[in-house]
Amino acid sequence: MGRVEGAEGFQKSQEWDVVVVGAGPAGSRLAYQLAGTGHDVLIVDKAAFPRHRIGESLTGECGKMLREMGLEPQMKAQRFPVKAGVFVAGPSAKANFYVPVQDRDEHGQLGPRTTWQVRRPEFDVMLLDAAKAAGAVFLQAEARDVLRHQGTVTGITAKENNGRQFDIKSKFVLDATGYSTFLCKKRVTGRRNAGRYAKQVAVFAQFENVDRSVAPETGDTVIYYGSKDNWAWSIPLEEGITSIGCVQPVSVLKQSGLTPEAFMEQRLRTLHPRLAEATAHAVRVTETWKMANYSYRIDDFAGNGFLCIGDAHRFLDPIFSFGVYMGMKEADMAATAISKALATPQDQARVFDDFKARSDRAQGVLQNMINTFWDYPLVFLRLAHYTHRDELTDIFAGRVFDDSVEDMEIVQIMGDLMRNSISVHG
Amino acid sequence: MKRQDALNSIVDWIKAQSKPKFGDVEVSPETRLLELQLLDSLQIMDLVFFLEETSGQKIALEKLIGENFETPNAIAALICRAD
Repeated sequence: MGRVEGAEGFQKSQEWDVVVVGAGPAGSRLAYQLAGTGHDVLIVDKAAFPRHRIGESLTGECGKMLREMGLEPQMKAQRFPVKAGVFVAGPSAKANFYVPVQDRDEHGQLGPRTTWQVRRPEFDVMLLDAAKAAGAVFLQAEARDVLRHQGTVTGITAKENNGRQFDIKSKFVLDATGYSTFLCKKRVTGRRNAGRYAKQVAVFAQFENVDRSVAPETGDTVIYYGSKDNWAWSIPLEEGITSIGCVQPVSVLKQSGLTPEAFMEQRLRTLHPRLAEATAHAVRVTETWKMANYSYRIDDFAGNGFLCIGDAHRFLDPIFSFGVYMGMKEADMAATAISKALATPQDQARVFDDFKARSDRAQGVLQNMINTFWDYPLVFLRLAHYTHRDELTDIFAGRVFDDSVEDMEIVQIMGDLMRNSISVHG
Repeated sequence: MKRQDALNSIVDWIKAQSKPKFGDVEVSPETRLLELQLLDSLQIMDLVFFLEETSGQKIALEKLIGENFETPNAIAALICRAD
């Protein structure tokens, strides 16, 4: 099917198989998968694309998904920086380490791979175009409300830019709105719980003249670990432009009494000596953005006629750049669940419960890994560097979603550690 | 492992480890190892493996936190606690 531009192909009277709310990577991947298997899919987003978003670093597994979509030539044509690994600049100059992007080949051997850093305005348009090319229809409109019939979600109320409001009927509504958490705000899901890192705030901007020689490859991510809960990312976005974000407890920003701009400048000088060096001649070329309370978990994120994917139901912590991957991977799981539910409606509850259980299990493993990293950096180092290197690599390479994930020794160790530390610290 | 033996072997190990970078350093039971950056995280891990091997006991993972490695005395307490 040819490329569909704008709302061409959209008829108000039509009942869709699926309405996807939110055209970020998760929503577009979901629409791409479902439209590709012959379903009628409408993607609704209030934004005019391209638009700015954060979440610029992809995991190796995410790179693989893009290659499977045939997008590698486009990724190259867009000159997105090639990421070979993550360099972690530790609290003391001697405690640096490098985590290469790795993957298992068809013989099960771990080997180096590469993935990308992306400029989200262009990246998200590329994925949305892929969804449209697969047959999904895009409508620029704001999802205002949810249609319900006898306890089942049956569509949404949308509002176009011209102010016209109308109903769109669908068999399923998929929430891919990220931290806007559309279905949660409409009280379709269960409650929203503050996450473990809810008291953190990130300030971030793009800079010119950042020294990228800190990491082995110019496309690599650098994580500056200042002290517990205080860290910064440096992500190359294009020739000469680098995204830098400083993360810290909200109280640090509040007590500084500074504007986000001034606070950012102060943090660049004080968070980590290598960051101060690398940004000594840096010039900020965008506004300074701020994002607080970013960690949350929403209960009952799938049910009669609806399902939430990615950040629309849970966000852990940006430290390992899992966000875009989690969204896209859950999009694949959701596509499978929806296909089954459309084919055999009486199975919906079971396949949606499976979806939730798989998501919860994977997110739980990652949560324990992130908690171990922050609460027990020495244990993390021991596991990552000495005793369980391959298993950790497997988690990063996507095994976190396999049924076998809980059989992994490292997963059991981190789970026990968290349970023990809860009993020790109350 | 007796506490004094543990302390001696910890101090000797640290002296030997820091020699290439810092030369001969005085290490007492109360030397502030982390503040002075005599040990980094990777060396702490090496020390843990050394202690586990020589004492024949495992150090519980939840004990692997910075405050248990601040001084040779603190480290000795860690390995002798299980006696």
